[in-house]
Amino acid sequence: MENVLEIKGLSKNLGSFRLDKVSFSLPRGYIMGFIGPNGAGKTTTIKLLMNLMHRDGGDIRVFGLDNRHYEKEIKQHIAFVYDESHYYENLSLLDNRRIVARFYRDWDEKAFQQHLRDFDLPPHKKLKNLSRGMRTKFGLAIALSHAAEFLLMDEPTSGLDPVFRSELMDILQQLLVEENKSVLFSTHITTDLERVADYICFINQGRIVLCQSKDEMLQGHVLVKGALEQLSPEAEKMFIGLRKNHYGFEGLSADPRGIRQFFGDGVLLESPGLDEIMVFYVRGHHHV
Amino acid sequence: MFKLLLKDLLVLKSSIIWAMTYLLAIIVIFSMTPPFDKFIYIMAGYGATYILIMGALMAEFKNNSDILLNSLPAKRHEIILSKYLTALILTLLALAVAAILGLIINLLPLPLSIRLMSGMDAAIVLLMAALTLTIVMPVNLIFSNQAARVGIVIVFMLLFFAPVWIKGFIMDRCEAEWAQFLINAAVSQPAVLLAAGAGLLLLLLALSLIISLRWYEARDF
Repeated sequence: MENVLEIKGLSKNLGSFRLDKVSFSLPRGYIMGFIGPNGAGKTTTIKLLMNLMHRDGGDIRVFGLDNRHYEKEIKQHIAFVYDESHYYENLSLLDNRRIVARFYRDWDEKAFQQHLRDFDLPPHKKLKNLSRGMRTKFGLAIALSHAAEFLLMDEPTSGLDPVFRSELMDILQQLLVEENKSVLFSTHITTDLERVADYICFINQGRIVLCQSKDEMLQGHVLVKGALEQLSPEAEKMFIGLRKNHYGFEGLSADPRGIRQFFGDGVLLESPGLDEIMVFYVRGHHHV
Repeated sequence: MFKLLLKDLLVLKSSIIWAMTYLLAIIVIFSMTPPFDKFIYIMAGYGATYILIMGALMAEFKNNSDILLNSLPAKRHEIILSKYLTALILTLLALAVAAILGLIINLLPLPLSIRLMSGMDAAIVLLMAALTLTIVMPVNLIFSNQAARVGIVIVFMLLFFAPVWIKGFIMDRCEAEWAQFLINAAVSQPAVLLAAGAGLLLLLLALSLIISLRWYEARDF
C-alpha cells in the first residue's frame, strides 16, 4: 500500500516538552485520526511536517519525498486547516482567496465558488466579521480548491458546536469517497473520529502510544466493570488504566481474551470508545 | 516572489488610500508654509512610505500570518526578500504619486505654487526608506512589532537630529585633516559624498537582509 506520509524517528526538543522518536505512516486514500490530550505533541508533529518548525532528528516523507528538500512541490499538493484562522482579518473572503490562489498551480475557482455556496459563506464579507465556525469553513473551502491529495487538519473542530463538527465529518467522508484523498486529522475530541477515521494514531507526552487501524484499536481493547473484591493485585496488572470507587471498578485492558479467561462471566465487558481508550492510557492507574 | 508582492499590495489596500491622502495633504499644506516648502517631497514621500511599511508589518503581525505564508508553497527566503522588495516598491509608489501630484498642481490653475520633484528629493527619500528598513525589518522579526515601532521612532530621531549633530561635530573639528577632507568634499563634490553615504547605507541594508534571512530561516513558528 502506497503511503502519502511516512514519519520515522521524528524528534524535537522544546525545552519543557520533547517529541520523542515519533514514527507512523498514513496510506493513500485513508483518514487517520491523530489523537492525544492537549500538549501531547500533535501540533508540534504537524508543524514539523509543514516545516513550520525545524526537527532535531528523524525523517519525514510526504508522497515519498523529503519534506524539506521538496517543500514547495509537496505543499502544492497539501491542503491545511488549522485550529485558528491565519488569513487576513481585514480582507474579504474573496481578497483572501486572491492572495492564496496565486500560490497553487491547480487552483480550481469553480470548486472554490461551489464550496462557498455549499458552506453558505458570504464572499464579500470581511473575515473578522465571521464566526469561528464560518472561518473554519472558509479554511476548508480554500483547502478543497487546489486539488490537494493530502488534507492536514490540526484541531479544526476545537471550540465548535456539535452540529458543525458533524457537518465537517460528513464533508470529509464524502471527500474520501469521491476523490480518494488522504487526511490526517488531529483532535482531542475523539468522538469526531469514531465515524470517519480508518486509522488512529495516539500520542501522549511526545511519544506514540498506539498507531493502528481504528477497528483493530477498538477490538483490541475491552472495558471491564466489576466489583472491587474481584480486583486482586494480579488482576490489576492486566489493566492499562483503572478507575475505582465505592461501588466497584472500571478498567481498560488491551487483552480481551486474557480478561475473559481470568474473570469469566463475573464482570461486565464492554467495547470502549476512543475517548475511553485515550483517557485510560493517559491517566493509567491514577484515577480517583 | 511576485505572488508575495501582490499579497502585500492587497493587504495594504486601505493603508495605500490613507498614505496617498496624507501625501496630498502634506504637499498642499506645506507648499504654503516656507521654509518647509523646500522639503515637501521628502516629507510627503517618506511619510507615506512610513505609513505603508508599518502598515504591512502590522498586518502580518496582527494576523500571525507567518503560519499561513509558511504553509503555502513558498520558501522562507522568498518571504523575507519579498518584504524588503515590497518596501522598495512602496517607496517608489509614494515617490511616483508625489511627483505626479506636484506636476498636476503645477499644471492646474490653482492658487498654489510648488516646485517639481527633483532627483535629489527622490534620492533622499530612498535613502531614508533604506535606513528605516535596515533597522526596522530585523527588529520586527527578531524582537516584536512593538519593538519595530520603537525602532522607527529612533530612526525618525536619527533622521531629524543626526545631520545637525554630525555637522556640528565636524565643524568643531574643522582643523582636523579628515574634517577638512569632508568639508571640501561636501562643498566641491556633494554628489560623491551622497554616493558614499548611499554606498554605506546599501551595505548596512545588505547586512540587515542577511540578518533577517538567517533569523527567519532558523525560526520555529
